[in-house]
Amino acid sequence: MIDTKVLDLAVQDLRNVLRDGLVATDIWERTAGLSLAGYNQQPVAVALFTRITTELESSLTDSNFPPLARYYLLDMEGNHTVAVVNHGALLQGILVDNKRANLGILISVAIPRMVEAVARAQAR
Amino acid sequence: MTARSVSWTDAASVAQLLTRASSPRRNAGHSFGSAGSVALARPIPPVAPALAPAPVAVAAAVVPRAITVPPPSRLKSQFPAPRLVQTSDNPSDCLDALLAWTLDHQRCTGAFIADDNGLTLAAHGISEAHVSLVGPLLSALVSVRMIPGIDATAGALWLGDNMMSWVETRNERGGFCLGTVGSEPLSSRAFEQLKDALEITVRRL
Amino acid sequence: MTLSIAFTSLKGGVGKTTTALNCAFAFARRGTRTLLVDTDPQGAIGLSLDGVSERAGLAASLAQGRELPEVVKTRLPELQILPMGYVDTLAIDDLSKCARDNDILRRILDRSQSEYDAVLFDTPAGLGGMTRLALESVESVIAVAQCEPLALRSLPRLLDLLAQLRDAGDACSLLGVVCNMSSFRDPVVLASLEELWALYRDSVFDTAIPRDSTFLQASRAGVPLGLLSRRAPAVAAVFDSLAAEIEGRLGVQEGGEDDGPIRLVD
Repeated sequence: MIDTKVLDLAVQDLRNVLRDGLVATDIWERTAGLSLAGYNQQPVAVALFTRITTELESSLTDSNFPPLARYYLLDMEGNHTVAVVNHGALLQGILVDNKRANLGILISVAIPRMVEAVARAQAR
Repeated sequence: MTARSVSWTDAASVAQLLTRASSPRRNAGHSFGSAGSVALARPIPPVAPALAPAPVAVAAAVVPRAITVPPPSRLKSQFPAPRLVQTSDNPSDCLDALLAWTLDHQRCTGAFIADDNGLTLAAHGISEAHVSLVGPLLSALVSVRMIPGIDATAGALWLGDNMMSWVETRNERGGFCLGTVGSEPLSSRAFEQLKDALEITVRRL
Repeated sequence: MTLSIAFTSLKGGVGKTTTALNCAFAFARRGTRTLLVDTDPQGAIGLSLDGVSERAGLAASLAQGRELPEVVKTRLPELQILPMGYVDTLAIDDLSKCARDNDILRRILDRSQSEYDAVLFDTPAGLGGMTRLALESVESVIAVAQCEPLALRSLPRLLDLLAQLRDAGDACSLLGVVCNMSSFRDPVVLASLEELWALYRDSVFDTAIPRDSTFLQASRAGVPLGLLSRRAPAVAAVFDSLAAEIEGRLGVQEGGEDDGPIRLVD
């Protein structure tokens, strides 16, 4: 069982940390593609990044590379950066405006806080 | 010539002030060097600051600049910096406050906060390229720290005309580094203060 | 019990430092173990005494986070000095905050309980910063008033601050007003003196410090009046008189309980 209240609080915390740098975020159940919590959610992005993440993981495994750890980043045009965070059974996409969000804070503060919070939500 | 008094005040108000400002005179009887003189027990009134404590400055979004010709170091007080007090739970605010505190109280022209990969979390007066030097430096220090008795969580490096100094601390999420850039080395006391301030901040990240 | 006295005024240039220094000398000559503490960021005591300004003092102790500063011994075993030492001009504002955070004046007083009979504080002009800290720390305050209109007009402000501090629970109390640079020759000075007596009555010390060129000579030499020459100048006796008056107001019994007349001829 996943405590969605904890997920909602984690999303709120992410919004506080990244402020106007956060454009959107979504936490979804990987298998069903079901969104559990988020801000400015994009259902198309859920489907897209589930597919991309699955492809990435299998490519890494097939190539005898180390598996995906906590996250991967995509630098997109239009000053956008997407971080996809691997929470095991859950995935999270974080879309930031990289002119407004500090990437150091995203990687070293926001993502680790999310990882801990989602782990707590999954542990319940 | 004015008929007003010299003091521009009146006897009644002075008398009232004198009553409030004075204690009754003591009778003779006390002498110096009395045996067993007792340490004066006085009530310690609450220390009200003469000035309201300076708010911890929250810097606006900082834009790292490349170092070209650094401006002259702001003359900092010879007295120890006040300990950093973090009043916000927001990590961004805490990082900004740490940066502002460092710039206000340490002899430096620039300061930065980075993770142990050299990724900038906040910076002012130093380019990200310079901050990213921290990553390999801290990696190099990992093996040094294995030597018993060696702390190696602080250091300094000459970068041409400037000295970059840093302190490092870790929490369960990883390593963080607070650094300064200036024209002169920092004192041991400054390093201790930076370390303390960084630890106070990292606890809130 | 160690006496603690701050010499203070709102206006500058009234002679606080000169009064504090010469009173300390007079106290010491009377056998009172005296510590003179300079709380003025400008280091006025150091500027008044040859050989003191270059010594480290309060400022260095605060800057380096050391224990209480070391005192400067003098020619009189009963007189020791705690100078301010060098303060960066731009750090003057931080000094009082740092001193307050470190509670340094109270710590000095606590340490002095066993070593000194009296601790005298020279304070900077004004009522903020180090002056305020000194007033909060001492039991007795002597207001130094130059005999001229501006000093007279600023005296109520000092009293008002003392009253407020006392209302807040501090122990400081006005011991008296000492009249400085008095002269009966100038009508304005004389008028100021008369008004001071009329308004402040018993608070004004009987001993008034006259305007005298000897003070300038002593400043130039960097010595207290009593050491200006082998035979101390006549005006130096004023401070003996003032010191005795201060002790009298504080209820100090000279010489102790067993003091009394001593026969000249056995």
